[in-house]
Amino acid sequence: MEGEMLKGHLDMIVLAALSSGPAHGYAIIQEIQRRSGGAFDLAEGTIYPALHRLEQAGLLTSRWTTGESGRRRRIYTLTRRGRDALTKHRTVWQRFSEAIGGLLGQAGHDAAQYSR
Amino acid sequence: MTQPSIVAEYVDTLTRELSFDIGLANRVRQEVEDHLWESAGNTSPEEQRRAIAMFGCPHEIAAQYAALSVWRQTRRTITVILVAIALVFVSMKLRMSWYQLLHWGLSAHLQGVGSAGLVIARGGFLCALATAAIGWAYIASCQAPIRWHAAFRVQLRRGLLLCLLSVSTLMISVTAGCVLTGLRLFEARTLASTAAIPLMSVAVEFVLIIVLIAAIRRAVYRMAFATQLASRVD
Repeated sequence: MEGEMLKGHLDMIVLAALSSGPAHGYAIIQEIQRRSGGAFDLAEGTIYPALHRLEQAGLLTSRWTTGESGRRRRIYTLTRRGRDALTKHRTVWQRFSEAIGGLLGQAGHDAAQYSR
Repeated sequence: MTQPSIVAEYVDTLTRELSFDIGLANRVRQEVEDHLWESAGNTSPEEQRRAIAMFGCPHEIAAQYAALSVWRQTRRTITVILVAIALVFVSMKLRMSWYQLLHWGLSAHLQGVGSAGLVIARGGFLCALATAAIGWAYIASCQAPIRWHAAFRVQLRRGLLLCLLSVSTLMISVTAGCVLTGLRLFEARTLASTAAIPLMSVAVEFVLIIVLIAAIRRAVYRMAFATQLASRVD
């Protein structure tokens, strides 16, 4: 999928990846790749400024822990505001998706008729 | 001597780009280092290069952080200004109450100067408060973008101008208050214990002004750094 298109929905993608529970940056990226079936080709580093921004907006909280490797690791958790924002994003996206789906479906139908 | 790893070199580059915000740079260093080592899986140079390639360009990532850092610093600056204005208000009220308690007024021939000084001090204070309130509302309405861009820079610059205007008028107010205090002390020809409270309140107000100037300076510095960083990425 196009990088610029993805960036426009990055906040929603990150919030959705965190909906299943707290996770650190690398695990969030893994979750995004798993759920999208590897369709999103986004530079992994882009996730971190997004996490930081969402935390500043109060949609996430974070805390340091120590991983199995002994390295410090930051764990992110959705806040109540974050969950509300995700629900809102989901509703808007579903409406948008249905509208575009209808539009493209109709366009495909018209194109098929013309070609007959 | 051991060679620094490819991951370490990459993290160094990224944190160097973020050196304008030490706290952020330290946090990013630990977080990114953990990510890259987990992604690489082992210490082989090929795996490290692959992890770095997937992570992205350090300048591009630093530019994304820069937008957030400058936005946060500007928001912090306007909040500090509002707190300082509240403290200056308390300090001025305390000084005035002290004068009333001691019936410490200005003599008749300085009444005119005193009235003018009071008008300047109050006017300056109200201007500072109004400008800071507008600035706070304006900055609160700005959202940090995914990456630094010219329109966002213009928004933050306007916010900082409001900060500067607020601090300038507050400085005029504090200076007027300081002159009036000086006149009272000059007339009373005293530096005794009764003068301690007015002197301390004026000193506190000037210290607050210095703190505010430093906060604005820091925000301007970060903005200049972020602009430079973004121009390099573009």
